[in-house]
Amino acid sequence: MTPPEFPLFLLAALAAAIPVILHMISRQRAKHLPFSTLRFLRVSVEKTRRRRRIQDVLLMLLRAAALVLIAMGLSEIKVTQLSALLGRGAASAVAIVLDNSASMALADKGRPRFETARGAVNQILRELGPNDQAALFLTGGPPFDEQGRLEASRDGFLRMFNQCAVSNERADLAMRVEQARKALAASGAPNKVIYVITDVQKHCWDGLKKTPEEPADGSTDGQTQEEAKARKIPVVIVDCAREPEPNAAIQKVDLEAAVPVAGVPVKATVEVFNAGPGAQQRLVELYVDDKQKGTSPVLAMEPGARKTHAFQFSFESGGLHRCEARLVGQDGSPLDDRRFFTMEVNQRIPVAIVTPHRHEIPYLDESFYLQQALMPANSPNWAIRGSVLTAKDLATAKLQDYAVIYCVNLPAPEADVAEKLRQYVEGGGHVFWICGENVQPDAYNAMDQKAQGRLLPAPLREVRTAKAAEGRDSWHIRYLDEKHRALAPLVKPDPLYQSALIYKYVRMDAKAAGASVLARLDEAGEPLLAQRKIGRGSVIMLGTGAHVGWTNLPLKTIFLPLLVRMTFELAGTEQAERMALAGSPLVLPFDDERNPLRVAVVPPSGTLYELKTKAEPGHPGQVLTYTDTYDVGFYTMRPSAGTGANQVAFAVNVDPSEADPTKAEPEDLRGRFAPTDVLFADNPEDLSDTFKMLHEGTNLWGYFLWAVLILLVFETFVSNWLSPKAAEDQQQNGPPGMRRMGTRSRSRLGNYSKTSEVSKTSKV
Amino acid sequence: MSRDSGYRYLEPAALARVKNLALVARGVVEGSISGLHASPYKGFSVEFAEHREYTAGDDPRHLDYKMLARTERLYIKQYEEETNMRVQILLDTSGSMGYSYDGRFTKLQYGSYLTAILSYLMTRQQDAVGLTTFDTEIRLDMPARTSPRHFNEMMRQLEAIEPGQQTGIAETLHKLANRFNRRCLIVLVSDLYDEPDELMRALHHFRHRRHEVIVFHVLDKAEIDFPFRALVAFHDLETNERIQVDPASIRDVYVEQVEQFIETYRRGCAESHIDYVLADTSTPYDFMLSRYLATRNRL
Repeated sequence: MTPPEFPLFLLAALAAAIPVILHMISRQRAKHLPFSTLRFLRVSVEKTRRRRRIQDVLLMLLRAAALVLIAMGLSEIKVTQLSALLGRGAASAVAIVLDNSASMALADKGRPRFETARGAVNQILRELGPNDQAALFLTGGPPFDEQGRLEASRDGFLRMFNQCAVSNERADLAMRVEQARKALAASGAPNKVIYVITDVQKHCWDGLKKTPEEPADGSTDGQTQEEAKARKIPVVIVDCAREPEPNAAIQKVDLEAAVPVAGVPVKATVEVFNAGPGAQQRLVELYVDDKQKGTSPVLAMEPGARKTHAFQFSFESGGLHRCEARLVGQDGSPLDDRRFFTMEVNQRIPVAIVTPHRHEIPYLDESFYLQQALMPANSPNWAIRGSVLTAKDLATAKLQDYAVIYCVNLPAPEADVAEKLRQYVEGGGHVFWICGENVQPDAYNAMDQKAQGRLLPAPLREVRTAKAAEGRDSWHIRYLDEKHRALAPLVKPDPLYQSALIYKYVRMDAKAAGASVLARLDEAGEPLLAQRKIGRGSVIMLGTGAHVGWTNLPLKTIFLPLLVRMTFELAGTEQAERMALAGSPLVLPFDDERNPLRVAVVPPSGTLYELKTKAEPGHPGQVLTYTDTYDVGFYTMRPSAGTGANQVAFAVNVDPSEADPTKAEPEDLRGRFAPTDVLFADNPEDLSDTFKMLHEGTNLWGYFLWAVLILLVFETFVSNWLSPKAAEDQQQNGPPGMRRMGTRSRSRLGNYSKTSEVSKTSKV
Repeated sequence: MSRDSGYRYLEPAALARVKNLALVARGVVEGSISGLHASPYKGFSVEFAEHREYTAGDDPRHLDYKMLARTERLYIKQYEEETNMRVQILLDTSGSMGYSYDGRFTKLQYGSYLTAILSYLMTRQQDAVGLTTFDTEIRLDMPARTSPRHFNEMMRQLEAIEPGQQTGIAETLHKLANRFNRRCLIVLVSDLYDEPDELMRALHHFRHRRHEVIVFHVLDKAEIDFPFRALVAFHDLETNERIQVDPASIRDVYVEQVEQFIETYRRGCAESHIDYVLADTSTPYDFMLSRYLATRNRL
C-alpha cells in the first residue's frame, strides 16, 4: 500500500466504530413504562440474556465488518498490498526460468536472443528489494548447485547467471515452471512471481498440460492443497524473440549403404530447413574425417521450406569415421548449421571358402557363386578378403586366421579336422556349412557326435528332393527371421527371398538341438538355415547348396547381401546407429563375455575421461552410461585393452526442433496455464510496465463490494430473525393498544379465546 | 345506567345485553328464601325429592295414596326446596390491577364493571350479593344481602375503590374461606398474580367448604401479547422495581411464560371443578359475561 493510501484506509476503517457508538447511544434511549408485574420479564430476560448478547455482538461485528470492507474498497487496496501488509519477512519471492536452449542463440537484429534474455534478468534483479528472494532455473547446460535455490543472497544466483550460456539442448519450459512453482510454494513470502524468459517456441511448452477443473464439491481431485496454491502463482512470460535474422538449419542426415565397408558407396541425404523469415539459397558441404567429400548445389528455399541433397561417396579405408554435414555461410544461429554423424566402416574380413577340390573350370566349382558373392571384385578396398581352400587344406591351415569358414559341399571331415574345427568354434570362430551332394547326413551326425555335438547347429536327417510325380518341383523360402540383425533388412519386400526356389535340401532337426532357425521352407516350415552359438563362436547350416544344382538361390539378388551381411554379422562388424541429442545420455552396452570394466571417453573438448561400466537391468553385460553430453560433436569411447571390444563413437547434435520458429499462441498458453494468471511482457528491453502491473496487482474493490453486499444481506437476515415479529405486528395491527388482533396474536390467543368461555370440564 | 342509574360501573347498554340471563348455581345453595336455586333442605314445594315413612304429627295432606295402595304402608312425599343464592364477589384491588396499556380500562375498572353487572343480576333474581375487596389484606367486606339498599351501597363502594399495594391473594382467600360458613357462590375477579400453587390451594379451600367458585382472570391484552418494540424500562406497579428490556428479544420467551401461567390456572381450575374465565380487557365485559352466562346455563 502506498503511503497516501494507507492513512486513508485507517481513517476510513475508523468508521467501524460507528456501530459501537450507535449501540452505546441506543442503550440510553429506553422508554420508561409501568407494567403490572415484572415476574415474567425477569424470567424472560434471564433466559434470553446469553443469546441476546451473542446476537448483539454478532450484529455489531457484522456492521463493523461491513464498514471496514467499505473502507478497504474505497482505499483501492490491491492484492499485493494486502499480501505485503499481512506477510512477514521477505516481501517477494521470484523464480526466473531462463531459456538457454539452442534457439536462444538465434540473433534478432544482430543481437542474440540470449543476450536480450540476460538483460531482462538484470532488470528483474534490479527491481527486487534487498530481502527479496530469487531463484534461477536454466533449461539446459551443465547443472549448477545453486539451480532452483531460493535465497535472499544474490551470490549463488549471480555466479550461476554469469556462467550460464546458450546450451545445445532443447528447452522443456513446462517442467522448469513446475519446478519453480514447487520452489516458490515452499517460500513464505506473500508475493510470488515466476518469470519465464524465453523465445516462446511452441515445442518448449509441449509438456504443459491443461489443469483439470476443480469439481463442484470443492475437492481438489488428486491435487494437493499445496499444488493448488502453487498454481495460483502468477507467471510472467517475457518474449525475447524479435524479427529473426535469416536462418537455415540442417534437420537430419540419412545414411544408406549396402554394407558399411570401405569402398562400398554410401549415400548421405541431408535435409535443410529454411527457418528464417525470407527465402534463402544455401550450400551444404559434407566432411569425412575433416576432409571435404562434396558440396551440394545451391539449395533455394522459401520460408518454412525443406530441401534435401544426397551425397554419394565411399570410405577409403575401414574403421571409425567422423562425418559432418555443414551449411556454408553465416546465418542467425550457428548451432543448427552443423550435423554430426559417425560411421564404423569395416576392415577387410578374412574368410575361408573350403571346397571339396579345385575345379579347372571355375564355374563348375561348388563355391563359384559363393566366391562371387563374398569377393565380387579384386579391389583391395573390399571389406572381405576371401581365401579358397580344399578339404585337405583344413588339416594344415591356421583356422584362427579366418573370421568365418565356409564349408561348401564337403564330405564329413576326419576326426582330427573335426576336432580342430570344434576348437576353432569354441574359441570364437564361425563355421558356415553349405550342403551338397557330398554331404551325407549320417556321416555328419557321426562327426558331430564325436565333436560332442559342437559342430552342427542341428542333427541332419535325410535329403529331400522335389519330385514332379509328387506334384512338387521345388520349395520356396517362406520365412526369414526378422529379428536377426543380418536378415532384418532383407525381410522386405517378400519376393526378395520368396522367389528363390529350392529343389533339394537336407532336413534338420533344429527343434531337438535348440538351434535358431533363420529361414524356413514353405512346406511345414522345414528349417533351411539354422544357427547355434557354441562357445564364443557359432555354427550355421544352410540346408541347400551354393550352386544351381540344388537351388537357384545363388542366382537371386538376395544371395550376395545375405552372405555378406551374415559374414559381417558373424565377424561382428554390423553397423550400429550411434547418434544422440545434446543433453541426452549416451548408453553403450556390451554383450561380449569379456566385458570391459573401464571405458575411456573423449568428448568433443578432447579431455580424456575414464569411466567404469556397471551392470544394469535389461542388459546381459556391462553398460556404460555417459551423461555429460552438453557439447555437440563426437564422443569417442575406447574400451580397455584386451577385451576384444572395438572403439565406438557417438555423434551428438542439437535438437533439430530448436530451429522451428513456430511460437506458442498466448491464448493457448493462457488456456493451458489456467487457473494461473499469465502476463505477457512483449518488450524484454523494458519491463517497467510489467513491474508496475505486478505491483498494482488486482484491484480488490469489486470483491469488497460483493463482500459488503453479502454482509448487509446477512445482517438484514440476522436482524429480522432477531426482531421480525414486532415489526410485522405493528404494521398489520396498527399502534399497540388498538383493539385489533393481528394474525400472530390470534394464533397465540387461540387457546385463550376458548378459555374465555367456560371450561368444559368444570361440572359439578 | 351510569348516567341513568347514577352508578359509574353500571351501563345501560351492558345491562340490556345481559338482562335476560341468570346466574344459576350449579350445586345446591343454602338460602333463606325461595328462589331459583336448589336447596339442601327438603320441604313441601314443587319438585319431588323422596319418600319418607309417615310418623305421627305429619300433615296427612302429604300422604302418598298410591304408595299406600301398592304397599299398604304410609309414606309421606317430600319435595326439594328452591331457595335464593348467596354470592360473594371477591375483587382484587392490588397495584397490578391498576395497569392499562392503552389507558382506557385498567384491569381494576374492568373488574369493577364486571362486579357491578354481576351484582345487578344477582339482586334482580333475589339472590344475596356481597363484596369483598382485598390486596395484601381485606380492604372492604360487605356480607351478602338481597336488599336494593345494600346494592346501592355496593355501587358506591365500588366507585371509591383505588388500586392498592402488593398482592397477597392466596393468604386472603384462605382467610375468607374460613369466614363463609354457608355454602355460597364465590366469584373471584383478579389478575391472579400470585404463586399459582398457593392460589390454587386457596381456591381448593373454597371448594372444600363446598362453595361454588367462578374465577374471572382479568388481564390486559398487552400483558398477553407484549406488543412493545423499542427498548423499554419497565417499573412494577406494585413494587416499583425497574427492569430494562429489549422487548423484541424476549417477546417469545415472555409470551411462552404467560401462556404457561394461564394454562396452569386453566388446568388447575378444571381439575377442581372451578369455572375459569380469561377476561382480557380488550374484550367488552358485557360481551364476555353474556357469552359466559349463556354457556354456563347450557351446561
